[in-house]
Amino acid sequence: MRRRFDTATLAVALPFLAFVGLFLFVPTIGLAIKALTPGGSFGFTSLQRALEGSYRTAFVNSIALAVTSAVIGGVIGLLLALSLRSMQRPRWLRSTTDSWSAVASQLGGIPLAFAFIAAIGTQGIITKMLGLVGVDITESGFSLSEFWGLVVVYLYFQIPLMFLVMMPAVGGLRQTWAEAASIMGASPSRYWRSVGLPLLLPSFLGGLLLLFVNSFAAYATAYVLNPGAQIVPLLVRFLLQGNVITGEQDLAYAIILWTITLLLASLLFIAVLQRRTARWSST
Amino acid sequence: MRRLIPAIAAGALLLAACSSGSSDSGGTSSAAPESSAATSAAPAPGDTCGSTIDEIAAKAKEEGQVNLIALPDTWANYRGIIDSFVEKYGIQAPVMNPDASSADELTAVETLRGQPDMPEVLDIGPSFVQQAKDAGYLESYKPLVWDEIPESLKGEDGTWVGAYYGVLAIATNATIQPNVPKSWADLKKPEYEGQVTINGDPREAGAAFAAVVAAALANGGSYDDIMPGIEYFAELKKLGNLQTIDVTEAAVLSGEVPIALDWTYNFPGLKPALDEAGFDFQVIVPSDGVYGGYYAQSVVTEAPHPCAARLWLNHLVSDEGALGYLEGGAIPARYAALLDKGLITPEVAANLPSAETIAAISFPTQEQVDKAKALITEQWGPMVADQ
Amino acid sequence: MKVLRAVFLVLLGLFFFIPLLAMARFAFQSVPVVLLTPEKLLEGWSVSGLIEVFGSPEFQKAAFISLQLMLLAIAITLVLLLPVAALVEIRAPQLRTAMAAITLLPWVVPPIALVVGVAATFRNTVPWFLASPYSLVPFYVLWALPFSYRAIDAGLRSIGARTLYEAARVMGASTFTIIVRVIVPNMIGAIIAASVLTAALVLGEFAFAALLLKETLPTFMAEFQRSEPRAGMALALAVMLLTALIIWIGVRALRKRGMDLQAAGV
Repeated sequence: MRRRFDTATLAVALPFLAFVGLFLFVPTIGLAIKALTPGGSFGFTSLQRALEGSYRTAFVNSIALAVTSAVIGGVIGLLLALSLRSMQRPRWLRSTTDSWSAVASQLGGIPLAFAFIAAIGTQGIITKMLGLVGVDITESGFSLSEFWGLVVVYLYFQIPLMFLVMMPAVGGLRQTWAEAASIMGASPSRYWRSVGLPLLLPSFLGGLLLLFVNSFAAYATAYVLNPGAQIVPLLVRFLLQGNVITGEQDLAYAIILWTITLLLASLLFIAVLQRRTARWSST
Repeated sequence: MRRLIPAIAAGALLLAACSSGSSDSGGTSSAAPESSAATSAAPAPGDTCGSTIDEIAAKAKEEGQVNLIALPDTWANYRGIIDSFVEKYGIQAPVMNPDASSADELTAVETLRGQPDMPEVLDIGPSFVQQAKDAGYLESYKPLVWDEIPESLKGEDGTWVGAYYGVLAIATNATIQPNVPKSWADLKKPEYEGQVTINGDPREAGAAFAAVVAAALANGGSYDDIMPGIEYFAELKKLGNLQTIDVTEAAVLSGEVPIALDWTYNFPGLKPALDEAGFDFQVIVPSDGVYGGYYAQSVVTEAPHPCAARLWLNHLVSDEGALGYLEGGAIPARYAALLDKGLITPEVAANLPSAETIAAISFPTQEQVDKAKALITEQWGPMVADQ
Repeated sequence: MKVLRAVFLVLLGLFFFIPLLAMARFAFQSVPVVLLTPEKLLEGWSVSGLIEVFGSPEFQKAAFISLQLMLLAIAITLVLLLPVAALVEIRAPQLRTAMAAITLLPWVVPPIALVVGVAATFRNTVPWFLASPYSLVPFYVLWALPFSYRAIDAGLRSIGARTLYEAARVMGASTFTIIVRVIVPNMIGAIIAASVLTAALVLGEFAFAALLLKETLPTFMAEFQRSEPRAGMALALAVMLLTALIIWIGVRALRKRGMDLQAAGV
């Protein structure tokens, strides 16, 4: 089998590798080099600075935001996939959800943020309507600019993304298995505990990782809701794309390098979990 | 396959090392020596563009286009200024990436160097001028009316001109908040809870940075010491008066930001929509802290259309350009000259702050700006953003 | 159980629908919320701003470019990914983690870092490439990788590509035949999922287009929103709905032919 790595394999893999090499590896290695050579000479000062003070707070906040929106969005997305899977009617529901999820998962920035501002901001139409009935949202301390406000808005694209990820896996759950299980006397919850959920777990974990990374990278939406939020993508933007700070590119690249490290660590973590939970998958 | 990935990685490493060594969109010194030699040794091509406006216009017409960047339509009435330019000289003036930040502009110049659509005239914040100079992006070109531009609004070597400036103002939606605040001290009052907004974050946005400096001036600080400004906003946040939604046009129009701290020239463009909505919007320069901020315009070196670029710069500081800025609520650099010519009529001055305010405006030096930048970068996070 | 499910779906539907309604109300009615009274409910509605922008040449040009970029991005994504994904699944499953890492990386490196890095390479070799609007395509393909690779990989796994391949080999088929006549037809669902998401992504992607100074539909919309906030929101809504509609039509047509967005499940 090893000798099969021949010219045909190379020909197949080369375009992809060349593409990824040029557009991904080169910039990444370039920025790693810049992060490791602050001010022109090799050193770890940028990497150290990137973990102090505001930047440390930003990492903590970003991780919290990412984990929260990934887990909540993931669970709801999974439930949505499961709910729709067993429904035959109304027929339009499946295709509508599919198409809307594709669009919603890519939403962000001003339109998405403003949709929520228009709904539940201080001058939101829902806020006003609730005010007429005596319910004051602002009193409760909820604010779109704070942590939970951001989570709620992020869910708008996290849930559809998880839904789209889980659809193939959920579809792979043969109805016949559920029927066989019930014939053998297993309750629905038993079926889910022993068959359904374990089968879905690897894909679910993979989806969680995707949502985590997606939320970590999202900045346009956060910027509209709170341009000063202490999260990593915004801080990187301050350093690389702002109107005030100059000369701190090395620090920004150091922050990005740490983010990449965090991603790889999460990836390995999820991969290990997946391997341990994949019992009957087709490998 | 196994051996291929390391090979590709090694190749990528090599490529990256070569390319990262040759440039940066920032202040590393490797780019400086050759570019400063270029600008001092070779005569700039623009010197052949002409010494009167008609000569320059003729050469520019042959070129046919000038590539602009980072000029939003509603910012200081750039739409009107560009339209008047296009109409007068018959040259195309497309604006790429109107929302570009100063850093984005420099990135664009670097990315598109030598290409026909490289940006040819920059509009950058003062703190970026040095970086642009070091990278060799700024052409040394003095517009024809150079002598009429105040000293504080131009670079002596001709590398930049501050064609317009504005004042940091408090814009209040009087329909939502009838009690219009008039000073920085006013903003602390409890009735403004959750209503005061700055445009962006001071570590990133020029207007927000200006708000902090202006607040410092109003609270016993100076251009050398802006800590009182940071403390002021920390207190404002603690009082609950500071709201952190971004001041986008949609947010202003929906009433989500009843009190916005922003440049005077950012509001006239929105006025028609605000009127239609039935909002009474009042823009007031705070009585206790007047901060004027300018943006620097420069012609870019190695421009594909050098004469058109010079024509544009001349247009900005000309009378038409100045009147365009005035309509947008910005103060043109040659304000004093226009005043002498009698061109500042009441209609024209309608969107401007009062003459006393304009007379009181002063600008910080580069060192003061750098110091303020460093302080904000260090302290804004822990003192304000984290609270 | 069914009741719970119905309640869940309704609540979720409200969560997704209400912000859009609020946005539409702002977009089409000029009366702000604070001045809204029951008498004024029907006042100030108009779609003229939206109709006007649809007719503007800049919008049409930007939309046309975005559509071209979308089709190119989908084509190149599929051409690049299908062979590699099949290769990894069939011959080198041990590389799966590496591929997962590689395809997840694009979302971690900010666009500014990617553009600056790529620009540095191209400037010394093929400088005119970045000046062309089509230079956005590789970035879009890259940005779509996290999802498109995952979708195609999931599709391959759920149809048991490895087994199919080996069975077909045993029966004497060439690799090419297997890919074209066995694997791809069974994977139409996953291919459609990857394409559809790439399409939605291209029509919404702003960062790369802005950095490279290109005029695409999203950059046009961003600037339009600054000068015309209400019409800008109306346009954003319209583009969202149109994209969803096009995808909906495509998905329905395929469902009618028995090809599902999910893998074959009984």
